[in-house]
Amino acid sequence: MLACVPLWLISDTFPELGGAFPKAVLATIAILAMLLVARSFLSGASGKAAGEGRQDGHALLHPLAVAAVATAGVAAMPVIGFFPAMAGMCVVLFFLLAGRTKVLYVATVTIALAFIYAVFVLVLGVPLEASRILGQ
Amino acid sequence: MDALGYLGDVFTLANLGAILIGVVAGLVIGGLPGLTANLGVALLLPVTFSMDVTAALLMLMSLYTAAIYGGSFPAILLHTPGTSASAATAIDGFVLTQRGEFNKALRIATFSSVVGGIASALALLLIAPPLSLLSLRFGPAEYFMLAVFGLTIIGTLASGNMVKGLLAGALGLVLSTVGLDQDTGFPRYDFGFLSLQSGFNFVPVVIGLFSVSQALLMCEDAQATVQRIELSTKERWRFLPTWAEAIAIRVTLLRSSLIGVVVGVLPGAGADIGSWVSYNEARRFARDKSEFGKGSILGISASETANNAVTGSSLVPLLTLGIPGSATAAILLGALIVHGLVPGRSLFTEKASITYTVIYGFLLANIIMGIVGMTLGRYMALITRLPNSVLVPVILMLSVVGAYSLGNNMFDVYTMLGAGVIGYLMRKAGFSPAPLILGLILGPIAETGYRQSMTLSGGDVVGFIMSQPIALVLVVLTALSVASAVVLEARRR
Repeated sequence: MLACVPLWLISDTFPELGGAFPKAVLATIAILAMLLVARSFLSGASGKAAGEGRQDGHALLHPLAVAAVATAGVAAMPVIGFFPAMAGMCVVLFFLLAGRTKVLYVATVTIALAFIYAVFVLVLGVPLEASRILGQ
Repeated sequence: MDALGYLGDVFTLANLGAILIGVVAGLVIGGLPGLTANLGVALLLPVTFSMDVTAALLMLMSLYTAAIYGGSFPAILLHTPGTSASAATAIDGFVLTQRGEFNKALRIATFSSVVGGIASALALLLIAPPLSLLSLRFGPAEYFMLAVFGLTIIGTLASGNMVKGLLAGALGLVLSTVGLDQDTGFPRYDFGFLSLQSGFNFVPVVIGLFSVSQALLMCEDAQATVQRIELSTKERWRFLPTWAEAIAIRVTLLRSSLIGVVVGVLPGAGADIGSWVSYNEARRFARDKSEFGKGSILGISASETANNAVTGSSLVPLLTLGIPGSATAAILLGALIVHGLVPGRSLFTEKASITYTVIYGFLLANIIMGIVGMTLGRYMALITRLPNSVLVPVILMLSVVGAYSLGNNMFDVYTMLGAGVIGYLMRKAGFSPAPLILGLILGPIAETGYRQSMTLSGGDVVGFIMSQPIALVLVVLTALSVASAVVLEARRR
């Protein structure tokens, strides 16, 4: 709801026709957001739909750490190339996810990397070397 | 050439290969608890970019139907539905497995899934062409209202909370406005970033919202895997039901096919709803209701027939009017657009060769699915034993390469990762990502309709919409869908 205000102000700088639709949608978002807030205050209508996964506070730690590792892996792609970056990411993830079955893990990741090489590099010709990623 | 004339076009090496790959990928995705048809279609989508459009659509649609069927394997073997659509199958399927009769359960599930899938393909073939004539009568007001109706339907049904669903859809609409204005070329919401001027491509967003968010959810319980059971049997492995079994389930096959087709055509009602409705109806009509829950083949057949009968028929509103009947159909809508196809009458006239070949191929895919499924059936339990800690890096790597391959640029990869984290947080908070995707896809259609309506009406958009009969019908349908969602939520409380 708060984000609607600056976005509305930005929409004012658009040509009239170009700003009409975003403003209509922003107004809708603001109304729906107010409705959601109002519902959360009503007894018996918490406004909550059952969220997925674990609901305790610690549940977010692992996923967000994995997302950070994945981001680091992606950031390394233009420097060292897709395959070394992803292999490095998988090594860190093994420890982060407390993998117990090392052989199964290594075998699955190796098969996945080989599959990606076969399909995306050999068949589709996607450039995944560092120099060509950096060149984009 | 009449519709039947395109049947032979299915039998090319490229199309058959695409079907086979789609089926195997779908079985693996569906067979892994937690991985959904949405995730599979999203991951496979980038692979199809450089493919022939017919083969590409065949691969995605084969994956869709095979993933729904594949969900029955862990449901039967491990009491863990691979997809939500197979939850009802687990009730009776696992009881048979515990008795050592998993081959019986699998062959009933397979035969029923194939029959349901064929019924849905026939429904698509028979219902879609005449319904597409309706799209010829659509103008700007109708297209605008169609987009609003589609968003309302998915928004109200995809998540358990109507307001959250609609909010997610509206956020998708806002995201669709990022980039250069279609008429004036004025940059909107680019915040000075050159990459944002071309807007958000829906493919990285789809991969992020469905695949990466799923991987992150799986991280919460990285060691999770399903329980092991002994799958040795002395019984001969049969591919087809016995004659007695086929006779016993024949009425259920017919009834559940019909239920699945009808549920599938209704936008927003997915395979899981079809499956449960069908299961309940089978129990209601059964002579011996006490058998249900104790290994009834009627229960397995009802659930599996209906969930596959939904797959093809959910594509009817998508191909004819551009309204996706399910979250997977919303991703397929994006696939159509990526491959230069526009839903509506043109799919059955200028693009008839593609459309009819895809429908016939979809029919064939359901048969191939059964053959491959029963061949791999004995070994599927092995796949379901992979722990999340092994699956997470695989999903992440495929997501990264999929997003990058779209345009060979890193912006798409970062967009995908960002969408993944947002999708994860949305799912944790009870927001469904499906309406957001639909908003992103339908945004340009809605905006064009809105603008043209504004121009034609001199600014009175509401009055203009109300003056168009078809648009008015869509307004009423939209109001009804919102009202029914409000009533349903009130009853749940």
